[in-house]
Amino acid sequence: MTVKQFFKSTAFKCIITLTCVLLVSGIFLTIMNGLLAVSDAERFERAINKIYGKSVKTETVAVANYNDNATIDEAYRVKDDGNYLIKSTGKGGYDNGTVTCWIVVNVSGGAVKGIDKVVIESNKGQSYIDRVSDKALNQFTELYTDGIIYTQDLITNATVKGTKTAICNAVNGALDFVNALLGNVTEDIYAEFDFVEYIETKLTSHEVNEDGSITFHIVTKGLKEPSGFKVDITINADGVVTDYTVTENGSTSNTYVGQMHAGILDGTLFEGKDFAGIEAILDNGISLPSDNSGTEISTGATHSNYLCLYAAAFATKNYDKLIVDDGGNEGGGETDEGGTENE
Amino acid sequence: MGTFIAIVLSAVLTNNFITAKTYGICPFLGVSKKTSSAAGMGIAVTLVMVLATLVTYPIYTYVMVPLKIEFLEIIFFIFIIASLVQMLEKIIQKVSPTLYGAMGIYLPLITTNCAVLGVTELLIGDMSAILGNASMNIGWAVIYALFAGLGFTLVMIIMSGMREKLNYYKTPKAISGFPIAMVTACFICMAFYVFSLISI
Amino acid sequence: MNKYKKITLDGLIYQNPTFMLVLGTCPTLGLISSAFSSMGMGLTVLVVLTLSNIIISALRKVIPSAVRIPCYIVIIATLVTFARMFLEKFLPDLYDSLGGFLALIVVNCIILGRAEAFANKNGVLESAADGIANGLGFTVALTIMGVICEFLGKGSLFGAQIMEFKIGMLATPAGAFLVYGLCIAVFVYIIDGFERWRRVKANKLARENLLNAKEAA
Repeated sequence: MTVKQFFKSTAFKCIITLTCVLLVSGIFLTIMNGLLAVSDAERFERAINKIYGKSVKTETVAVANYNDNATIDEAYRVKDDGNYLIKSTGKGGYDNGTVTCWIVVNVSGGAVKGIDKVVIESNKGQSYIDRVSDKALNQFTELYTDGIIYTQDLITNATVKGTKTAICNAVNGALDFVNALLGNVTEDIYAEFDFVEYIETKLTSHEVNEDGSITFHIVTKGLKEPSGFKVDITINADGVVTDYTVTENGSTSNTYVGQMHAGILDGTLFEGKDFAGIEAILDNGISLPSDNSGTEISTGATHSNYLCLYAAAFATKNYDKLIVDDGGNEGGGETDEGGTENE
Repeated sequence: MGTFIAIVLSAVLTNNFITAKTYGICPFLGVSKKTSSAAGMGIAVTLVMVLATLVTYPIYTYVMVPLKIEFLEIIFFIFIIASLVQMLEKIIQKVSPTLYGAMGIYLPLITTNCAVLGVTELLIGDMSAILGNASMNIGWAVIYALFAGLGFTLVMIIMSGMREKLNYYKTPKAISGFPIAMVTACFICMAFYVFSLISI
Repeated sequence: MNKYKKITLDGLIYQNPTFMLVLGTCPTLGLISSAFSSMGMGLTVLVVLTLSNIIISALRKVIPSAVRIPCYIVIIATLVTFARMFLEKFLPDLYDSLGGFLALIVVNCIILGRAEAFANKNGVLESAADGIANGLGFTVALTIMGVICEFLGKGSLFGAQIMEFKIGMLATPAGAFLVYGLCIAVFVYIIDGFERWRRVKANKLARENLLNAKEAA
């Protein structure tokens, strides 16, 4: 085949046609891409509008971390209403995964008023994330009471608790961040106490009664299977447990509630004991033996029992600190209030 | 190892291409009347899926992203798949006529198979839900493509077995053919739906 | 005019791509759990199909037949990429709901099938009409099934919640297969019945004519 023949052959025509079609397509698409490409700024604006439901103007806020359980990725102040939009990644998910959420923190008068919206953006390794419905996320607006979200209150269909924990951590991280930004850091009065390893110190509170006894409203963290318990414990002036009530049981299911130590459920095991008595329940002091066996609290729900035991140890060990530190002040304050009521 | 198991479970069972993603339905309904042809089609699709991933993933990551021409991905991918299928057909024809007899007739159909383009598009997207904490690379991409193809083959074979049995029954004219095949497929999907309850 | 009537009827009913030819099944099954996304997919295919039919029929004398399939694929892929850019820019909601199926329009058998079977043999106007008719046939079929699946499977229509009662299974791929299969059966049954009725009527008319003719004689 000579060169001349080749230029007249079908093969040449085919190559030319195909090249032309490809070239025209490429040029057309490049032009269109230049005209229609969605820029990162636009994508961000769209994401915000989707969360907000209306278009708003934002300004970027410098990011810092105030909470070990979450990383603040991005933070914006909404110019229109002063709210904050935070992108936060919560740790502690299933299989050490994370969940990244957009959180709208409602701010007015220089203080956090609540959470307007939580939207899940992405996750790492949370295969059940689809079961966290919008309905479940809307609960955050109601769950916000005192600056921290308590994991167990969030009801989702994700049976893996980790996913839930990671979302709550993300939200709490965002709340801490905004609070710090506004200068409203609440001092954690229990932070320096003993036995706070399994206690949610920010959720726990206490009150000093008129007879000098102290009532703790303790919220524990989760430990492996069970999630947190809420326990009310009253300690009298001698450091002895006089009243003990489990107000919320963190056991996985009713089966495990049934397997808990009866004396721990109704408090008969603890009542009348001081710290030495609580410590003596386990032979080795107040730490769980690694094999979970051979102790009085080793039932089918050892971890649940242990959380309650820990709460009791926290209360009996620390009651005197409260009496020495602020017993007088707080007691006085309460009497005053009582007085006003009487008048 | 955890990532590997997660990919295998997800690609074969929980996110099966046919029963969960509904990719590659044309061959699933068209070539599933006999088990032998269903298996042949399945293997051919698996082969093309793996080869296509092997070519498109590096091209996308190392050529198209640095050059900022990601928007041309559809043209690039479909062209690569079409050429690959042509080449594969010629090579198999030359090397092994027996294999060509068993598989060759399915190859031209594969160019317009959603499963192949689907897997290449899927793998350049966000895969973090399946990969967990591992990051995406060519190795995981090929493993995912391989097991997605095997999952496709599995469902093809199950379907062909059920349709072979269906031949023994007389169905009303309006239902015979595609409608009864789709109702059969519905049952397979329901069975596979149970796998989505696996937590990985 | 008769020619366009035939094209329209073929595309919408007698050669309906979804119910009669069972083409483009992947996006159909993947998206009919939501009426909004199935209608969006139908309209996107309608536009891409019409444009590709017009371009291909305009170029049918230029493209050598040996490379026509690669050329068609490039043209279709270009149109799909364009559609994707357009949707991402102007209709982000639809773009999100179509997901991966948007790119898969390239391998939708309807588009390549119409290019091969119609556009490369007919003029630009007929091809455009054919594209619109087939696209409409596809859109209507998808929307009908989308409405059925969403109404029964999620208790909502186009995203608006209507009732509490729902059969969750119908919003999964399994339900999509079931509804699609049953819709085909019903459609084929109705068309068959209609054809039979028309044949019977025509026979009756012919017989009466014959009798009348005899009596007159």
